[in-house]
Amino acid sequence: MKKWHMIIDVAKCEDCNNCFLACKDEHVDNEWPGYSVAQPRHGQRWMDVMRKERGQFPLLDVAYRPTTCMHCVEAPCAEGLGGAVRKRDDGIVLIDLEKAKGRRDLVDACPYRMIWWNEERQVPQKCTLCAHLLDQGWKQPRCVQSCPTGALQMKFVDDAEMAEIAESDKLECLHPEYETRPSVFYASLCTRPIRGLRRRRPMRSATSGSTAWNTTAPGTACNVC
Amino acid sequence: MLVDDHYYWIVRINSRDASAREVRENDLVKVFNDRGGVVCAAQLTERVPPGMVHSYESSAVYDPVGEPGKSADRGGCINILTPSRMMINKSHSMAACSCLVEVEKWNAQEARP
Repeated sequence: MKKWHMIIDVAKCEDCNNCFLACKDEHVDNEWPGYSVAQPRHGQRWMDVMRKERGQFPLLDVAYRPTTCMHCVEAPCAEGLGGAVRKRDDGIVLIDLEKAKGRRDLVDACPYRMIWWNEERQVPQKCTLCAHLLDQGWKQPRCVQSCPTGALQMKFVDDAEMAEIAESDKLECLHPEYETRPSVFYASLCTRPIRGLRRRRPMRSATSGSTAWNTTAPGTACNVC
Repeated sequence: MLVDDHYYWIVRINSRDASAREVRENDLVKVFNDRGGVVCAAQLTERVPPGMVHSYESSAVYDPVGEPGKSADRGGCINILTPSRMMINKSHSMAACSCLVEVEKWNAQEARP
């Protein structure tokens, strides 16, 4: 069975935010019946380019990481939560708009924090991978289509083929320790300590604030993951 | 950036310039020169050098806090600060997208007449 997978190459992302904007263009104030209710104008980031800076000008190191719903194979939002979230055969994880009404607990079910609460409609919301477009024959969701550097890519392949691609292209998942088996893979992401960088102290960010998405673990010097 | 129930435009400022003005992340600041002033939310970054601030001119909302033309704008019309001269005599293209400005912490008292 072929499934949708997204591959995000963080080395190619340059923080243009076209993906974020395309997502907003597609979903803000737009209802896609059977798929999603309209995204509110503020407060939700279904495709979010996270940003981290280290060092001080002019010795500076900046990393960008597009982050979205991982469409996990073993989705914590779908498991044992009353069928409010359904997993389709093509790998897309969708929130059932009727069954999920009032289910604020789903927001906390996602370890990647990629589910948001719509206060007005009293329903949790997240990225649908533009399933309404893929079902019409589109080959990619709006975010991937709008990416000018090719940092975002789609693959419609079965699990075995995807495992091969991940192996040969050295793809990794974000937070594999969550054990949710994401359908979103990352290239150029280093979740393991880099040899030779291990003994160096991580550079401190001069501007640690809301822009930092996580802290650099002691002993590692990777700025991306 | 939502600060006190209003969405402000973002201005990016180097951490050294910010600390000299006691500005912290997401603080409201007034970016101003002789042409006017715009109230923005500060985002501290190393991606602009000290002595420089950056903001996008994409806001067409002019929302003065007091008398129009004589008070700071909180809608994000950052082009209030740039010169209004044209690129050439018979064109309407802007000549400059940069200008001298100063940044200070926004004092809400200024908004009250």
